[in-house]
Amino acid sequence: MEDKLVLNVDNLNVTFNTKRGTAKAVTDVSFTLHKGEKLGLVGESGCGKSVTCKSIMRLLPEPPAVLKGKIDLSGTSILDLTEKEMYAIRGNRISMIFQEPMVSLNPLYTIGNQLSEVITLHKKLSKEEAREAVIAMLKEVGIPSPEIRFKQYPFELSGGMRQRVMIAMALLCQPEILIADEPTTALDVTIQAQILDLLNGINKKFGTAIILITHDLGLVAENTDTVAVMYAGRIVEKAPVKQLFKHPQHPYTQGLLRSVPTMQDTGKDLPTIEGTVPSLYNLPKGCPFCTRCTKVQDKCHETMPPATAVAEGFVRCWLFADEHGEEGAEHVF
Amino acid sequence: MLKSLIHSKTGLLGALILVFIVFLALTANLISPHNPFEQDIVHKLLNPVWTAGHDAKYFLGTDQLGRDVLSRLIYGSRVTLMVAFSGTVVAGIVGVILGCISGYYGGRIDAIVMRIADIQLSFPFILLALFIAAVLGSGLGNVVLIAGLCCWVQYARMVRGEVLSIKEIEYVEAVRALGGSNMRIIFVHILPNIASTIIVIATLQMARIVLMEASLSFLGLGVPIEIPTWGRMLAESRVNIVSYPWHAVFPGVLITLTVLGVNLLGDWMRDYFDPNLDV
Repeated sequence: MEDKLVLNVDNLNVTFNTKRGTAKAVTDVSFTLHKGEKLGLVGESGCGKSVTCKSIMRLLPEPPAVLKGKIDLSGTSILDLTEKEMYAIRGNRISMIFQEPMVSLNPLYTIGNQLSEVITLHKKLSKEEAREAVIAMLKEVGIPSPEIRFKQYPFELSGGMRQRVMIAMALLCQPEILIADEPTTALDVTIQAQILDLLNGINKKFGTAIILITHDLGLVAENTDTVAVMYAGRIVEKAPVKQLFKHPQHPYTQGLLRSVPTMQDTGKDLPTIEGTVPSLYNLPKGCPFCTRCTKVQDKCHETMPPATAVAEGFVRCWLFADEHGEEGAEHVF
Repeated sequence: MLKSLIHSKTGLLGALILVFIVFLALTANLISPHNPFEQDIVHKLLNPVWTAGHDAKYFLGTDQLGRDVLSRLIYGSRVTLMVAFSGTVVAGIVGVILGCISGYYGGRIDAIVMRIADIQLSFPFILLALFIAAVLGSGLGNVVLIAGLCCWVQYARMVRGEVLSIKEIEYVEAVRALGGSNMRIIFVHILPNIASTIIVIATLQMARIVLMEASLSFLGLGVPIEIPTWGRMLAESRVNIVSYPWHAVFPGVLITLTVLGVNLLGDWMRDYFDPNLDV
């Protein structure tokens, strides 16, 4: 996986200036993505997963959103581009698939029409060439008899089918990065497995880097190489998937993993993380998790712990910063 | 669609009335018994043939200058339809574009457009029309322009509301994420979804514009004096209304019929396009 670097997010900060005040949705997020890498982004609702990804695509309305930091897409500085220049990036170099396949397609146009639209937006192709490319891609994502589906409307397709169409749409221009924002939440478990198999196959075949946003830890364990755990707008721990599941370091990661139901403990109450996420309008001065942490110390309330290298990843917690005392580890991994 | 129209009695009636008026307008030069501009001063102020004081040559009688009422009514339908159609289209284009921009971009543009709309709505419709007519002067083009300036608000407000709800549907964000530009999203992906709403507003606005044109002509601020219009015929017959009441009846009935026809058809369309109603 020591391939070409395709995405480098450096100290991304996203704030929303609203009437209620300034909400810090994403704070100091840095990560890298290599060609063919599969990164899982996990965390509970409102922790900044989606905002981070929408920032990469510049899909957030600005204002109220204010984006600071650096996002580098193999040499292109995303945050310096104009909206017009973004048109050429979206769907072409970075694509995204969404949570609700049932409403992600325009009900008024045929599948073929919508897919051809994407390809003609980015490439100079004749109608016939576009049609061929679309049908080839529909075959690629496992849609049987693509010639017939090409002429059908979204309502004639099932949810799993539509998600396949969405994936085909996202992949038409062979993007470097595919962002999947909870792609299987609205689908049942069998279809979920099929869609993830498809994503993995595409990742292998085309070398497309995938960012998988989810709160399902099971999905992450099976389908990613690296995992970043987010809490209240920060990446609190990032590690290769095996390391993270075997040796979770951050108390929040440990809490998350404990609260996954297991086959053995049926009938018992599931362990939970007490308390709620702090308001993004008024984050604590120190570590955002200090209000719920079981191993909280005095300095947790005062200062944000630095990113500390642990094995092949990093963690932001004073428990580890004490021993190692080094900073800026997120830039190494 | 045609089948459903035939099953709806009122819708069909509206459609038939409109077909009749359109037929009059299209064939005016063929079916008019006389030249509507020709004055036969010897035979002025004649009554229709079924009443006393008539001349068999003039079926619906003549006006105070001896012009044939029937021919003038037939020619008058041209002005009415022309103004109604083009006025509706002009108002529609202005209103839909402003409504789309307002709803899609929101923020300051939205506030400005909607405040202008609110201010305009707080004035009585006819006062505004009169004001613009007085500034611009008379003329067919000006009447169309007045219709556009007076009636865009209804479109803009409805379209804005629809755009607000449709732009939140995920496929709009999906199009954006796949490289669609704002203009593309608005005109290719949002607008077709609200076409039915626009058609329904258009029919209702058309009825209003027919009345507006008649009112302006009645008040002498509409189309130039030499062009026959129903509103002006109504105004001219006012002087002799006690002695010759029939001359006011015919243009009045035609105006009423046209408005009724447009409204009936519009009502049926609204039901037809409403997915919650099974027509």
